[in-house]
Amino acid sequence: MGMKRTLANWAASRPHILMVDAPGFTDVRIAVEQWCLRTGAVLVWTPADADVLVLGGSVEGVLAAAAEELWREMPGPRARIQLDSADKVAERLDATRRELAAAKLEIRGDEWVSGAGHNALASHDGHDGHDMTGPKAEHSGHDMHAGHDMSAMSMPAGLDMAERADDRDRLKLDAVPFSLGPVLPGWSTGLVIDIVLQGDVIQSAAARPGAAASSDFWALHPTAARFDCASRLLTVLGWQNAAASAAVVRDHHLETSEVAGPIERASRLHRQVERSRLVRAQLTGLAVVDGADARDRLLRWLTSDDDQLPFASSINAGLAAIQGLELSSARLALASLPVDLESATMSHHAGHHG
Amino acid sequence: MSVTVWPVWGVLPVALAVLAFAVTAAILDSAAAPSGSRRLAATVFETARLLRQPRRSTPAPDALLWRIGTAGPLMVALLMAVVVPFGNGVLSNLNVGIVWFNAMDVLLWALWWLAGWGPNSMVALVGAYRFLAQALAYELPLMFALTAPAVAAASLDVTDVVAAQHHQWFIVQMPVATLVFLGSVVAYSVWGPMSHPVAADLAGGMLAEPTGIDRLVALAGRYALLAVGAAMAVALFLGGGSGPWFPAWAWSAFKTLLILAILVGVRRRVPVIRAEKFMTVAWTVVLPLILLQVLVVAILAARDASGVM
Repeated sequence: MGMKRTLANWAASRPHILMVDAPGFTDVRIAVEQWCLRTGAVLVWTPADADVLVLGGSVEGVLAAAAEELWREMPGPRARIQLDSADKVAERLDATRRELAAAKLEIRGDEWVSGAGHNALASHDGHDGHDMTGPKAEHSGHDMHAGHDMSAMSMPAGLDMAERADDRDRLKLDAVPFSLGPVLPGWSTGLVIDIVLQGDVIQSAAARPGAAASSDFWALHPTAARFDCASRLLTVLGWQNAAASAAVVRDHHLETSEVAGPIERASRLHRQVERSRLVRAQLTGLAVVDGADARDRLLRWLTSDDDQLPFASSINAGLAAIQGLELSSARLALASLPVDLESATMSHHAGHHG
Repeated sequence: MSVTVWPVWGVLPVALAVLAFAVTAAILDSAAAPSGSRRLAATVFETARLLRQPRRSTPAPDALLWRIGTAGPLMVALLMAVVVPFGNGVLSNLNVGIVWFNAMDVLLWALWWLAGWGPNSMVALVGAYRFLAQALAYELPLMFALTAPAVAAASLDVTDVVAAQHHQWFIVQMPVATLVFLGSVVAYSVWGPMSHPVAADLAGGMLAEPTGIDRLVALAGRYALLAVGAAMAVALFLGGGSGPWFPAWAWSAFKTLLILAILVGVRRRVPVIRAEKFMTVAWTVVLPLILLQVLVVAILAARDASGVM
């Protein structure tokens, strides 16, 4: 027993955290990120790798459905916590960590393993299967239909096959409908973009009208907003140290309005990013809007003496930019054209088909 | 310098040594994290966590091939270690040891791809194909980087390559081959700048789905590949166990740890390179450079040979 107890305590001392934050609760997200940085807890990207599901703010609609699906896919032992404000985030997360150490193993109900219960799977209001975190893993021919017809029953695990369509070279290729979001690393949580993939190339993209809040958090902290966006873009680029630096600068700006403290760190970061050949190779010429490409925008965000908000006026610029791009370029393009789901102006994003 | 060939039961200590270096790599990795408390113990915590976690399946996985894919990289690392000299000893002085090493790294093409194919998940499969693109880019340069020391030593036996560096380490004669070899180790380990197949934009790609023991073995495999790659780099380019004052095994261990620390440390410091960009650079810049390197090495070897005659 003692051995098991110790193992459980060790296992829970570095909890892996999956964060689902509702638009309008940026302060909660940032508090959780800070707690993770301080304690060594790990923010993860996929339910397979998560122990704790953190729900930030009023998670509703498409986000709530995603959160339930993510919870179901977490292997366990697991814990979940609802955080409605940034107060006492650290205490509550510490308590969750203790809860995790005490959590019992549950018997997993992966209905598809036994081969039975495909109906149960298909009836998850259209979320066939797993991984809402990733671009949703979706082998089904149609997305988000409430009921699956009988022909789907004979397919593996109740999933449909992809349909075929002409690609950009007029070859008939599998066209797989897929969703980016609502929960992804470096992503405006809540945003869902439905795409059709051929191979890993995006043939068409449309944003789903999603939940939006009206919060003036970023309007009050424009500089922090820019470093937050930079941190996310650097995360998608896979440059972890730079992303962490940008987050530190952001937090400095949120804590104190005096700019003197983080300025040295910010200019060092700006120099590093400007000099990086890998950044230049991957962002130059990507998603050009008003004559500025992704790299130009990133470098502008990292300049401290600027009071502009980093957000694109609508999702349409991003949607136009990702037509015909391969997935990773598309993710970079979208991260370089962030939208502010929190301000009311974004409540209706229009679709865009290529 | 004579080479001791260890008896067959030596596979056990060698396997333990590989695991010890892999654990060291994991500890170095978490120690290099930008912040967080108790970072040195993180490896223990993470291992406990994954041991406690049950397996979770995805809809309609190809379970057998998935397991082979996640367990494969660790097996490959152990099989590579068979021909890697350490100190004055080696488990097998196979006369085509370099070819063996190369054959094992080619196995990773299939294994990593299976790791992405197995879970029946979109992101994992896209990750798997990214790996194949990456492999197409690094494999030829890696083969030529392995060719250079073999040409200089006029042998495919790794112990002969170590012996041939008696007067001068090969890194002096072939810096390009050394760098290309280390880059390839990072690439086949799907590590750091070459981790596009498991990148954040795909929510973990090939490694988005494995849980519990499967994830533990896959992650251990990555560290083990880095560790064995570092040990091989020491044997091929850094004179193996040669050095003053200390015994050969100590020099091997020290040099391996140094290379390993460099490989591990590169992870958070640079962005991830997209497979397509890497492909362009590999075929237009790296491949011509490494061919030039092999040419220079061959000319030097031919001059030495005729000088002796």
